Amino acid sequence: MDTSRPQLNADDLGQIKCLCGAALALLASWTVVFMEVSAWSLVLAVNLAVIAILIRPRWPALIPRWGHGMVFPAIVIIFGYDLYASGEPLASLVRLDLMLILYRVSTFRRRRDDLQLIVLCLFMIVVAGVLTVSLAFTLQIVVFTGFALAFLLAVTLSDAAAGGSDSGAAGKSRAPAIPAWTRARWRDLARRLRAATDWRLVVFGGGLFTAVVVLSGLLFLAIPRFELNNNLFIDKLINRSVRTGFSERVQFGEVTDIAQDNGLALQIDVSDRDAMPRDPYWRMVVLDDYTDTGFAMSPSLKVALNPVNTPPRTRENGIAPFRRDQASWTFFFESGVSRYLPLLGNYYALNFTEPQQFVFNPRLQVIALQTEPAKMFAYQVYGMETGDTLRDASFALARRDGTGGEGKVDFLRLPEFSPPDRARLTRFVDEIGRAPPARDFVPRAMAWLQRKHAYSLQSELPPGDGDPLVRWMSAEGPGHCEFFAGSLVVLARFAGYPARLVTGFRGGAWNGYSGSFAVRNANAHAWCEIFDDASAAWLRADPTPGGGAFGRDADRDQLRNQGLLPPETGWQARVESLRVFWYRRIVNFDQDTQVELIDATKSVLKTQSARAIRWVDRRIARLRAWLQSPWGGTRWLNLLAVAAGLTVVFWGWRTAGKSWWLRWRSAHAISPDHDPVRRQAGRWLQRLKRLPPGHAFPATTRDALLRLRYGDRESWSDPAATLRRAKADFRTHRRSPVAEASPARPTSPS
Amino acid sequence: MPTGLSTAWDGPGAKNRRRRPWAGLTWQKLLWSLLYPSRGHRTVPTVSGLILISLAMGIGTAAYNTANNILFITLALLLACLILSGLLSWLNLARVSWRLEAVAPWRVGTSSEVGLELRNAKRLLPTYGLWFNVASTSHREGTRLALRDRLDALGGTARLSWVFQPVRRGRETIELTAVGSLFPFGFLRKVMGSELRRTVIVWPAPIAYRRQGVTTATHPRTGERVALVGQSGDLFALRPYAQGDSHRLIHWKASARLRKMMVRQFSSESQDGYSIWLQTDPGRWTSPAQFERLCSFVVTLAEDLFRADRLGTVAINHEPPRPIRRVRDLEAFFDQVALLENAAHATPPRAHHELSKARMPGRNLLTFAPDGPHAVIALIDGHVAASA
Repeated sequence: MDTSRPQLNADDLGQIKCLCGAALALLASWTVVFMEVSAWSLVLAVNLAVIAILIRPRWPALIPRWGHGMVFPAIVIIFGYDLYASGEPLASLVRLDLMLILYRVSTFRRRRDDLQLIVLCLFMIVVAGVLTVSLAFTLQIVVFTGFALAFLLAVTLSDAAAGGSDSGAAGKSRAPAIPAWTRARWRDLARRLRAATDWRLVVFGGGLFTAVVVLSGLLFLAIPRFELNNNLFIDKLINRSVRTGFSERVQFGEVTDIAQDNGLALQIDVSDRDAMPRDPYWRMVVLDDYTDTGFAMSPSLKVALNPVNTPPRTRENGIAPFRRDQASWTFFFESGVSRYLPLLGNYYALNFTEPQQFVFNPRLQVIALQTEPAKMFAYQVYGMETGDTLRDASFALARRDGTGGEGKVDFLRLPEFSPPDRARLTRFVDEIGRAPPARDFVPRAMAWLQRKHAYSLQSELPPGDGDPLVRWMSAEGPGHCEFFAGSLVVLARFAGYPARLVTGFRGGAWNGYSGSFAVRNANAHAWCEIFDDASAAWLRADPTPGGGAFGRDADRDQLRNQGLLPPETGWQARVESLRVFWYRRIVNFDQDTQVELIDATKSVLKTQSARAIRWVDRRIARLRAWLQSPWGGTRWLNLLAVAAGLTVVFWGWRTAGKSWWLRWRSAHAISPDHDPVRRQAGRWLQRLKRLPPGHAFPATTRDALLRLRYGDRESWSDPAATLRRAKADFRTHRRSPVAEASPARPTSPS
Repeated sequence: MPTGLSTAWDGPGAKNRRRRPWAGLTWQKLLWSLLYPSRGHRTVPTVSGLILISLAMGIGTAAYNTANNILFITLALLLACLILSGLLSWLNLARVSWRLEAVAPWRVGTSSEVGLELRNAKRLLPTYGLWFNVASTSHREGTRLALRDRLDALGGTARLSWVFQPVRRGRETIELTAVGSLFPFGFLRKVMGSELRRTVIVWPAPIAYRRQGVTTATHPRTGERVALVGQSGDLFALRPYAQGDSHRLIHWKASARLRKMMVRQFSSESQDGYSIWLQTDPGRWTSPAQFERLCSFVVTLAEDLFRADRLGTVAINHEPPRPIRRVRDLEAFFDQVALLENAAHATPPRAHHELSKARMPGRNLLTFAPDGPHAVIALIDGHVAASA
């Protein structure tokens, strides 16, 4: 028995409970960082309360008795007012939860209060996880589980030390008495914990906790999935701010502001890496209305975005049928970017992971969710076109018929320029040269712009009167993508070509660790699309210096990346590959994936079993062939050598090896009860009792067994030989009840 | 001189348990045992367990409603924790054994101790937080003994005690009714039924009585204290063997010569002693309370006389008189008195009474009679010697 380890007393357990509660409260309060809920003052209060109770554990005693009675009515009133004032139920609930946690960490808790604290903290963790779908959730929930289990264990042991009560409601007093553990010091607890801890138990506990995590992973994969098609949930109860650069109204500089952020905006899994264009343009928002502050989506264009009333999971676009050789694209769209979904172009079908309400326009190739996603949003696109043209036969027909195109959307509309601005624009177009069709005008205009202006993220409009873009074109200062794209739209429209501004992302990098394509906010970009009557398509034109060449669509090979995509390396790429794994395998795990997983498991098992059978068959065939081949002298010699070797090994093991092994195990046994030699000897002595009466089991062997069982280890002769002899004698005398003269055996040395 | 009366070891770690408890276990048996557990076996959720189940149900409902994998992860973790809880609970009880020990003597109104010895034969894991429900015949509600400290691995032992006062004479069965645990997380209250029991005999309570010549009639001896009456002092004579005589007292030569068993009689045996003859015929003892008073009076008187070395023989009803030489003899007499029943005995025939009286040795024969509706008196030759 190990008596050297001291026992933890009730005070130690009280301190451990306090520590675990504090850790849970901190962990729960920090989730507010991910939720974008305005509760910083409460987070600060919780953290200060935790620090205070760690420094001075008796301070909750300062709260007067009537104060405890006032707490809950006050919290209810504050929550009611908060709910009424903010109109955000979830945010109010989060603040309510934080207030309750604050109160619980600021009091001496009983068992019931401990359980309440755990549930309150779990609520925060789960809500944060659901709202953010962040990889950090896994870390949070695992750490939370560890602390919560330790907390519950300490509560149970504390109750057991107090007499085994589990009622948890002992005493109705609102303010529990000051517990004795508050007088103890943390340093003493650390010392006692260290003294009371057995490293084997720590290893065992760690292994058990790992097993729990693994088991929960397996349960996650194995829990049967089916959908109830009810998508009303807490993420709909919170409003999140999105980047204005990807909304219906973009002011000059907003897209560039997004580009200052290097955070991840989008990850794309593509089934065929070669399908990824070398220079992808991820279209999100199409803007047609130009004002002196920027571009916006005109009301008529908004009307053209047809709402989908029934929430389907799939949006089929009706282009050419999907071919199996076409790539499928899975987008993991981070929250807080936009409600407009990035796409490369036209597509065959688009799948959501859950039913959605959205608006779309097939000719604009714009899809927008009804509300901004509050968490990572995943969707899958099949048969997506990756070229730089967007066919729009309807618009071409409308132009031919002079009806103006899509509803009343006018992609030629310009604001009322002042006469000087009109004069300057006329001069600009003349400098560029009117050269219908658009396919010829656009390169000239792009070249003209790039000749006059350099690219710079720190660009500003020149001061003065008149239209801002005309002012910028008149000057020779640098500009960013919005100035270039906006200017091209103005120039094209002034020259009579339908044009529109498009915002989204350009480019990205290939993450070799995850095998996915990462697009960052730094890739935010604005470009324009010019309608070409000749091809009845919108042509992508990126006038920003360094932008993609115009009209490459004819040479499709140029679009393929051919393995030239810039790879991402470093720790950030590794972390993001983890995030992709999280999105791919965990967040997007659904019934179909589960079936695929089962199929894959079956397939692997079948493949491996077939491989094993083949391996055995091959070995048998080789053995058979070897046996059937002629037996020469060398072969016999080899065989005899192997047999002799095996015999030597067996003999060595029998004579010395086994005995050494038994002695070694015996010497390293943790207690006499676990000594293998003594245990085996004990078993044989027990068996001897089952021998029939009058048996003639040799007394010398019995004595040797008794010596092994109870004698000094130094007096043992050869444990293996003794046990072997006991076995032989037992077999001999098991069925020979007739007493015979036992053969004399050498006695074991004393 | 307390004596331990221990039961055999019981529990999952007892050696008399089957080494392979799963042998013969089938799925049908397992399912049936879950639906209809054996006696005393219960696993019920505690408050925190109910909270966990409610949480799991709520999160599961939300997960299926929203197909949200974060909720599925949380649900999986909760279920894994529940499985871990069951596993640790099983490990906590594994290879732990216990036994009851009743520390004699047991006497009505006197505090007695029931000991529960625990042993942990696990190699690595200690055992925590067990409780044991112990009850007795006279204390049906029993008590709960809690293992407050850690029971270490590798043969760690602990002892829990229950001290209580028996309220009735006679047989008292002490039973370990259940072994329970909330370990490790307090989600489930696991209770194992136990049929470990120990029967002890509770002697009547000591009683105050008024002495009217019993002890004053004794002849105090100085300096010498004998454990066995009759083995000290000078050799006085030889007499025929009587039941209860020690074999060491047999005088073999005289026995061979006289062809009957003769024993040595010492001077101490000839001193004036008392004999107790307890008659329990229900015609005399009509009141149960008075009968209980009689029993208490008899054992108290017998104990006092024995302490004073003045107790010679005892007899109950028609039984032959038995010499009281050792403590063991006295305890056997107490056991017998403890088990007496008032109405169970039929009236012994007159001839037996006379026979017994004739066989009672010594001059000071104490008999007992009711005195009024409650009191009991002890008589010597018709004179009151003591009253209670």
